[in-house]
Amino acid sequence: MTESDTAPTIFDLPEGCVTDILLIMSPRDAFIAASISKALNLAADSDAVWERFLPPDYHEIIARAVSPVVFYSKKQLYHRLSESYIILDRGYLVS
Amino acid sequence: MLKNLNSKHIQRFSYKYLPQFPISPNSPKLGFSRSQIANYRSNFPTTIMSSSKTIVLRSSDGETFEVDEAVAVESQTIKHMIEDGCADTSIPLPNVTSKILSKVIEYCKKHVETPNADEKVAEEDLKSFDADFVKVDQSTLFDLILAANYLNIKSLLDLTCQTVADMIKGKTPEEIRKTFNIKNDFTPEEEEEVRRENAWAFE
Repeated sequence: MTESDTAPTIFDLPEGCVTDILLIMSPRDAFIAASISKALNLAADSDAVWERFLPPDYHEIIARAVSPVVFYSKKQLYHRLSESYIILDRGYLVS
Repeated sequence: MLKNLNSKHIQRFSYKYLPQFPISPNSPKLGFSRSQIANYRSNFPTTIMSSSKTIVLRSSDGETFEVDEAVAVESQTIKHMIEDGCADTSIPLPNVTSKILSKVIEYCKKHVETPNADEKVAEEDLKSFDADFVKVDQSTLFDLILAANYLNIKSLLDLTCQTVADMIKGKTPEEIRKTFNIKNDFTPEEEEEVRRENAWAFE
């Protein structure tokens, strides 16, 4: 097994490493990575990556929403939270 | 004429004879003076207190590397093997070639030798070492990531992943494909769909 025959590429990295790399970059870069190839698309759209882009208390935020927040992937939830408003706590401000 | 020996007498005798034995003077029971301790330290820079045990690592191509235990346990994988008693003769690393293992050992040695004190000079020196360390060709870089992942060396994994991330940041998909020699396996329709799905990010 010589190195020239089996020189590793980015696809030889385990999923955890690819996720780590994507997390160092911003969500915008993750989108770009998703359009490179099918394999990177899968990695870049995975819940593991987008869960870390979401705020750490996103469970709480969703729980306080007036209308239920429906999402089938963490990426979609990120989209939902970033593009539109969610009314929390029945619209009352709590000081 | 023998007096009744009490503990005071016995202690005096033991003080007289103890300095022959290579016991560290740092124990409070022995009561050496500070100057004696300093003198001891300057004559014996590596006291018996610290065990300078070496570990033998064997690469996938059969080459062996002898390293200090302190350097070897930078790798959590090796550390657990030693703790589990699997390191009697040598530790085989079937996933790491000698070329990569020697680089990893060089990295670990530097990071162990550099004192952890918040000295600016030491920090700068280490940063510059790290920057030079990752100036390698792509396949070596990926080999280092795989080795750091297998050996569980967090700082090396972070360094190498950051390097790859820097190579990707700010580039267009086509540039990234060229850099990493990735084939675009999307059909034009699929590519259009991906672009449409992700369009909101670029608004």
